[in-house]
Amino acid sequence: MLEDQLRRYFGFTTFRPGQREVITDVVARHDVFAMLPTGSGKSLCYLLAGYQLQGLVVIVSPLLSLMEDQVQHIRLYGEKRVAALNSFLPYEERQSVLQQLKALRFLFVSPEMLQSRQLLERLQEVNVVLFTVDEAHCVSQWGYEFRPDYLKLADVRRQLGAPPCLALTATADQRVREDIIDKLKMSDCHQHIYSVDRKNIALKVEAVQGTLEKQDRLIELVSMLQGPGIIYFSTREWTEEGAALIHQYTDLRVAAYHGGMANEERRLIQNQFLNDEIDVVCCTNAFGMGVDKPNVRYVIHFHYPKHMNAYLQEIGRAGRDGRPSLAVVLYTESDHELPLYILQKEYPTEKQLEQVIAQYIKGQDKELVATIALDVGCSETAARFLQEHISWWAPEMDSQALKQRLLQRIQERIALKTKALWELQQWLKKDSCRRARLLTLYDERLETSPKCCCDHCGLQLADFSRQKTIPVSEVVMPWERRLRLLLDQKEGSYGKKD
Amino acid sequence: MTFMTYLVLTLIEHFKGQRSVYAVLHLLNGKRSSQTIQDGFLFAVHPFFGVLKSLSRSRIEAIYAALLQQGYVIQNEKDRVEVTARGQRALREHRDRFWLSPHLSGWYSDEIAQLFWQRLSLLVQSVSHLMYHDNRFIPVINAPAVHTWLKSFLHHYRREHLAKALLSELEQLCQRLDEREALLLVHKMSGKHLSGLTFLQLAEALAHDEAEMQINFQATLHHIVNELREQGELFPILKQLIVAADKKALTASTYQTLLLLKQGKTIPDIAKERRLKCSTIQDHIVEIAFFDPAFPVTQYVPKTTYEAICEALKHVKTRRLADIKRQLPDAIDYFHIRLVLTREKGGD
Repeated sequence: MLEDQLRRYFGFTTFRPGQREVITDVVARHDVFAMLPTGSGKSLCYLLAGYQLQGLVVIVSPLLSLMEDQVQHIRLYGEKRVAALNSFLPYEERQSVLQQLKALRFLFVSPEMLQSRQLLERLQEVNVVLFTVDEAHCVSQWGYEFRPDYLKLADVRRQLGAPPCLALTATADQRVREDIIDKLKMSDCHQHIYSVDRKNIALKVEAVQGTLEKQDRLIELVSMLQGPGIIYFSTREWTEEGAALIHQYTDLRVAAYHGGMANEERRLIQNQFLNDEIDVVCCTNAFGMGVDKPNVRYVIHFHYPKHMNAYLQEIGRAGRDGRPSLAVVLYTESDHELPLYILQKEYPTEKQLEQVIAQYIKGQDKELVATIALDVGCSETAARFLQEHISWWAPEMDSQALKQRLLQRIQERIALKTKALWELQQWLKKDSCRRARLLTLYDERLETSPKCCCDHCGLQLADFSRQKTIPVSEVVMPWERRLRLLLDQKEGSYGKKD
Repeated sequence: MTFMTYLVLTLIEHFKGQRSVYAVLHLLNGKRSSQTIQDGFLFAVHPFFGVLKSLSRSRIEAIYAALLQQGYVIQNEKDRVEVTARGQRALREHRDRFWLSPHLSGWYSDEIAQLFWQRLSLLVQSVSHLMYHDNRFIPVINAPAVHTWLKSFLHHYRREHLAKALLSELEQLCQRLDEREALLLVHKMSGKHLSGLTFLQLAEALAHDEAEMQINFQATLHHIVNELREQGELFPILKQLIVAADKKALTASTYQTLLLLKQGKTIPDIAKERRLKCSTIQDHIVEIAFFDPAFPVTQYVPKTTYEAICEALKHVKTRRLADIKRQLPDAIDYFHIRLVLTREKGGD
């Protein structure tokens, strides 16, 4: 029965581990907490459950870009009854979504949108059958990506007639898991915890001396490894530099991808990568959220991310087809300084904080907080932090108390993030099994090591070396020919994969 | 010299030492301020209006610094920038090295061209996939309005017929374009098994600059819009992708003024009703006149005044409004001169 629908709606014949169990429990109207590793098809859980339950599935999603990718992803399966609501949507489009709420199957919504009276009233008129909280670790103050707006979700769910709740996350340790279940008030909660371990991804870390050596090593690696591959960099400039290097020294088809590129150009790169028209993408962490490419063979971190969750998320884009894949981190000693600096910029300075509090008048629209914050020079992350916390605390505090409370919170957050960064850095320097160490960070134990485990367990890079030759592609061709390839069925077999 | 440097230098040259480098930035960004719009016509650079919206302040400042350092430009009094003899020479030497399509028409065609491209690229991508009965692809264009349009558009055609007809129209169209324009156009398109190229990829493949690709792609679209406007009957499918520019092109406030003008209200009436200064309403009228070639300028400028201004324009070498005004009787004010400038492009 479930398998039939899996085939009908998604074209798959078998479930990935955990999916069937989660769906079955959700359809039986239990609250479900599910921790499924990245790349395991979390979204399929609420989609298929939604088809079973016959009504509207609300999915709370923390990031705008993520939301767009998710909607797009669902449309790819031919499902058009899906929409997203967030405060960045133009007024008319927001209204148009609200008008057609009854006709929708899946509604993605940001947590702050759920504070809108109008939306809540409209949702009360329709049959909400499932309340899904994606990236549920945002609920927990112990979690890396805590968002105060997530704390209000339990109340929102109650107002919607307490439909069953499905909380999804890829990475959460024991303490965060308990906190999520408590804060979302999931009373009758069935838990499905799957290991964060992706056994088909081998782990390797290499310390190198200085940036030049790192670049050389990068060229060596991409030249020998079987692609397609993703290389993560910390900045936009570096993605371009990395792509230029690879272009110059190898025969690989490579492109850079980062948030500063025009939307349309980004999509072209994404499609080229999905179509195997390019072999390597040099990107920032802006890449990959909506990319579900099964055959990514390696992920290289030219710069490592700020915490283990992000690292797992990013390497999780490799090997979704279950075949052996490789994750490599290259680092130098000087790499350890930058992340701490970036981390501090995520929060307002004491001076900025004072300015924002001074200019903000109680009861004002909370959107204004962010505007003021940006005006006094806060980063976007810092502005959002202030917006959420001030609207949360301001009603019950005077400005002096508010300032103290905020300062304290900032200190707590920085301490927590510094610790997370330190954990990752310690892991990089580790001289015993990397997989075992990684699992202990998530309160798991390594039961059996896979054949290709990590660089401390006898990993051979040769096992991942390039087998296929890089196709010589005709990048630019006469316009007559390209038009025919695009629109003439007789010609269109060009580039078709066997 | 990169294409961007060449372009900025070219535009500084156009501004004849009377504007700062930010006038170049605002022009390429397509800033809708009355100053930028007016400058566009005053210095005959309106084809460049809004053709590089992604150009940042810091980027142009870096280019400017390099130009100053190389001695191609100097800063004269009041932060204005002027091309030196050395700069002139560099411009002449590089003229043939860079490609700058004569079809660029930013002011008149940009908005229509953008929408046309969004529709065309989504249409081609969809038809290309539909030939294989594949409707699972990531659309190159995300805008909901374009998807809604496509849906209703596809409704009117049978898919086998559409692919054939679209191919034939595009072939015809490409023949009317310059060879390089046709090449750019088709390589930006995406389809089944074949994704469009980014400007950077095109630049690498064709040994040009990225910005050179971007601007000439805009010019290609402007060229197409122009062809379709004039020869629409030859392109029954493609001409439907062109829509008349609506009044959205005006700023909201100017549009309000336009509505009141249409009710026959005078400038003081409108200023009073909207609680704005008369000079603001005059700014609006100048903006409207720029946008709408059919706007009756002569209603606001007496015939003799109009002629006097045209006469003065022949004699004044600079494009400075103050210099033009000095040639004229005191009774003729800036509003009149600016309005006439929307119709007469002045010397040169």
